[in-house]
Amino acid sequence: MKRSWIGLIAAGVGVLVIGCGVAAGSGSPRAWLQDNCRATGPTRDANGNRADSFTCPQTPTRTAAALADAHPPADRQSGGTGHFLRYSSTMVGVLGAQQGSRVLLARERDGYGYFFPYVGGFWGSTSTGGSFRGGGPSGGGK
Amino acid sequence: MKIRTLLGTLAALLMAPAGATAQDDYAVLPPEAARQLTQILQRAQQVQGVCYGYQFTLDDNFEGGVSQDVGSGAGVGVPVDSQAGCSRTVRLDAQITYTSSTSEAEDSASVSIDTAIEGVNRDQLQRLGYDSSDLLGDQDAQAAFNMVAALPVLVAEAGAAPYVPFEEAAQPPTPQARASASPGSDFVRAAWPGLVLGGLLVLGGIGFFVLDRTGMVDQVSHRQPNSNS
Repeated sequence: MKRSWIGLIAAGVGVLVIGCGVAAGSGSPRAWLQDNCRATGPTRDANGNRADSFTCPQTPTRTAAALADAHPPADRQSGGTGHFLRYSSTMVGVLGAQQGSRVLLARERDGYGYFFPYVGGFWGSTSTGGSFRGGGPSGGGK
Repeated sequence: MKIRTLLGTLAALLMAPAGATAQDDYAVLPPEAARQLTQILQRAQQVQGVCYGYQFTLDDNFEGGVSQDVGSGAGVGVPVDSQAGCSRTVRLDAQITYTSSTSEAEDSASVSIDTAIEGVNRDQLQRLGYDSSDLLGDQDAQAAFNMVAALPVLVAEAGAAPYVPFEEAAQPPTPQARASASPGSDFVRAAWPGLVLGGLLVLGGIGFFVLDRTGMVDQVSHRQPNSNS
C-alpha cells in the first residue's frame, strides 16, 4: 500500500469523527425528554410563566446527569428541591417526585421567572439588578 | 540565615493584631448568595428534619493565612455542629489551597461530605458535573453554592427524607431581574470536540496525501539528517 493512502485514510477517519460530532450536537433537550420521559402537558406558575411538564423514571440527579451528558448545558444550578440546566434558549428544572422526577422545560424568559428563586442572580440579575457570580480572594491563585 | 528568618516570622506575628492571620474579608460566597443558600438549607431542615451546613477552608499561601467560610440552616457564620436538636446532619467540607506565585505546587481543592446518612457522597456531586476544581475558577461562588444546595436532593434520593417541594417566586421578579445574554449555541457546545478533532484529521490527512504525492515528504525526510550533521 502506498504511503500516501495513509493520508486519505486519516482524512476518512476525520470525516467519520466530524459525523459523530454533528450527531452529538443534533437533537435538543426537548427531544431528549420526549424520548426518555412522559409528557404531562403545559403548566403555568402563579406569575404566568409557562413550562412544559414531563415525568421521568429516574431520580432528579440521574435524570439531570443523563440529560447533561446527552446535551451539555451552558450552565447548571442546584437548589435544594432539584437541579436546573440552562441551554441557549431554554431552561430545564429537574425536581423531586414521589417516583422518579418531574421535569419542567421552559423558554428562557419564562424559565428565568419560573425558576427565579433558585437561579436568580446566577443566570442573570437579581431583583435589585445584582449578580452572584464571581468571588474568591483577590490576587490569590495561579 | 534560618535564625534570621525565624526571628522575622516571630516579629511579624507579634506585630500583627490578633486574628490577623485569618483573612476576615474572605468568603467563597457573596453575602446575598450566602443568605439565599442558608434559607434553602433552613427550608430543607424544616421539611426533612436534617440539619445542613458547609465549611469552606481557605489556605492562602499567596497572601498568607487560613480562613473559614461557614454556614448552616441556622444562618451565615453558624456552624451546623453548633445547632441544638440535630440528630442528623450533613455538612459539605471543602479545602481550598492557593499556593504562592513562587511555589512549584499547583493550587488545589478537595471536597467531602460529612454525614452518617448512607448513600450521600461526593460521587453524586461529580455525576452532576460539580467538581472540586471548580472552586479554584472564576465561578467558585456558584460551584460552592451548587455543591451545598444539592445536598437536600441527595438526601431525599437516598431515601432518608422527603423531597423539598418546589416553590415558585412569591411575586414576579422586578424588571431589573433578567436572564443574562444567551449562553451560546447548544450545537457547538456538544459538537465542538468532534468537529475540531475531525477537522484536524481531515486537513492533516489531505495535507499529507498532497505532500507525499508531490514528493515533498521525501525531500523533507532526506534533508533532515543533513541539517543535523
